[in-house]
Amino acid sequence: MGQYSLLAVVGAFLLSAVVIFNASNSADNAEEKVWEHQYHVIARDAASTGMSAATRQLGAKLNDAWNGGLADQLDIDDPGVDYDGGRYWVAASAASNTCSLLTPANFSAAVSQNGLVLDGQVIEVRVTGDYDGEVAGDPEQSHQIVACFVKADWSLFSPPAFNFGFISDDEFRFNGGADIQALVDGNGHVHSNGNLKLGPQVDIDGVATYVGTADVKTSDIVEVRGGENIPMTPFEADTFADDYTSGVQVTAAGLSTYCAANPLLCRYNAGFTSSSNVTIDPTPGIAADRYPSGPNKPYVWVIDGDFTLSGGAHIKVPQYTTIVVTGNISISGQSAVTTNGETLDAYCLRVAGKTCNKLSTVQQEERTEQWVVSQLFDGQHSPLAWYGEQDVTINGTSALVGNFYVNGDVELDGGGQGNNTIGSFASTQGDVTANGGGGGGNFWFLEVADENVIDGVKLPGKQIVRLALAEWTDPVLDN
Amino acid sequence: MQAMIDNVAAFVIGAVILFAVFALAATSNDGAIEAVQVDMGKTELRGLVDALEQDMNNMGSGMANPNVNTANRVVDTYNNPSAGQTMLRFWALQSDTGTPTPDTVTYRWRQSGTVTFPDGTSTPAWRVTRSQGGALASFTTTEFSVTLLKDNVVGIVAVSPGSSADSLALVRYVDVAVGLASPAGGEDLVQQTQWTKRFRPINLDSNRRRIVASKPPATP
Repeated sequence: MGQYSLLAVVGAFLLSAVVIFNASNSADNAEEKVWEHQYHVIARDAASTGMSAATRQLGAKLNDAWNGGLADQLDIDDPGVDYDGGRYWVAASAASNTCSLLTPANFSAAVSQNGLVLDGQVIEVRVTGDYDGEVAGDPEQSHQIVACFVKADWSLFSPPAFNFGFISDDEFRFNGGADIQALVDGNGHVHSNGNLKLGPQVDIDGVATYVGTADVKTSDIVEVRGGENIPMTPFEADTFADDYTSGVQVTAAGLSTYCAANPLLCRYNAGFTSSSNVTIDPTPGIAADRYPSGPNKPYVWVIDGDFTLSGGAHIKVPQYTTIVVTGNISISGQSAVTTNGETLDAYCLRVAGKTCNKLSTVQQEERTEQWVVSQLFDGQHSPLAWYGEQDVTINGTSALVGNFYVNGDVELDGGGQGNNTIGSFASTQGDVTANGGGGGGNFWFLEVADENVIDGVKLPGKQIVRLALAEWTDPVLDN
Repeated sequence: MQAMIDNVAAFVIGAVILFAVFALAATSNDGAIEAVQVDMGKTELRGLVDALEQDMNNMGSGMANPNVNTANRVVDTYNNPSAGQTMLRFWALQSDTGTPTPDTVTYRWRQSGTVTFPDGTSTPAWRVTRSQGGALASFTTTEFSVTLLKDNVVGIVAVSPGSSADSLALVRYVDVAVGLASPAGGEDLVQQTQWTKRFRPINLDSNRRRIVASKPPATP
């Protein structure tokens, strides 16, 4: 009996030992996976830091020749740069018109479709982050980020003028009770390349900068100080026409033909005057989305003459529309231009059951913000842009959407209910004047959507463009 | 007589020892098996997390102009192909060698039964599969969700096949949540491991290209 008992006890212990050994093994495996993941996180942080450092270096070398010599300057060889217990290395190379992350066809498309005119070679940067943590026999865990950069003419994205709520190349005068606010991140900044004059009732949720002199009587402003001259390129409708039609149509008359043949992409008017409601909606049924005009091409409304709106006329235009006016722009008499056909008062009436001025201040602000958002497609950018070769005069509107970029003067005379304007105003060669009496003018600064930025206002200079980026961690790197 | 008493005593003592040893072995075996279950789950979860991290970070890589319009969108499909199932398919590079042609990665997930805890409560189990280039990997989790978000962090709803999916070109963020629970173990044990992360894949952002310009706007 004693022998059998002893045998059974030994067997039980052996069995338990095997099970516990297996459990211990699986626990080790599970812990290893957790460690491996943590090591990858550190390695990725290291690689990201290395890529940021390389990008900063490229920025500092913007005016240098982009070639193998520049790539050599970015290289960081063994032992690398220490980072949080790990380290990173940088390997850069230069080549003409090629990037290892893009096929030749995709490289060409990325360049041509974005209108990039390259200056120098493509710089490919490969940053490897590393952490010495052994997992399953692999002595170190790595993460690699690869990116291709090019230097190109500045032909993408909005020019600096669109970064301000208001900007003038000459005098800047704000009187009355104009409020300038920002809807999304940042502020509604104002700038004058000339002199700046702000009256006592002006309220600006942002910074005012000037190049000339300043006469500022309001204290409702974040800061007032001298600033740099902001380059402002006058808008040229013919240049735009040439670019927009890819060289097929180069004159205003040609645009007329082009727009007649492409009603889904373009509308043409030899001047436009209205005192009644008009809906500019060439493609009913897809109003909630952008128009299918191709990459970075919005729906375009060309007005070869003056644009005049009066008598409470309400114009509804599609989102992502660029309005080109060769003459003067004049909007008055509580007229409105919106993307969804609804003014602020109409919105308050629909949502709150009463017009906005009968709501409490808090409710007014809340409803106004909701109305602004309702006009936007992406919730952040103004979906309309106005380009004009002459002046723009706004004299009391109930709602106005759009970023205005004009060569002449900007005059805003919002009496009564003022101007509920979403967007910005830029005068490339004239003055900006606001005389908002009564309730003043309410301006909600928004950046313009990229879709509405056109080559006609591109600036000289160069930019660094990241054409491609990909990243890999150990499972791929080890294979 | 004395010998018989000794034998009985030995038998009783031996039986008690045997019982104690087997009880001890059974208990430790149960514990070890439970631990193995939990650890295997954790290992599987980490495998899924590793795959998800690389896939999400690389969304849109290798494409000429990701998300400039609906025809070039990164997220190809986000719908409910059948009741209870959700499918997400997107384009991404799969390797740092060879021809840099982006491939599609497809995640499908559906509820598949439930997991009951020792305290009687239960949670749905999810069957998640990742397929790419003919390779298929499957995972079982107790939570799995992928939420696509626009620039203003507003969610995009999965649509039925055949519906308009134009808004997929507006995806800028991806929220991922994965959970794993072991039905084994006592009531006082931690029963679920969760992992959540918000990704902002750089290739989804149409503004991502510009790095620096020679005439930057003055920063007030």
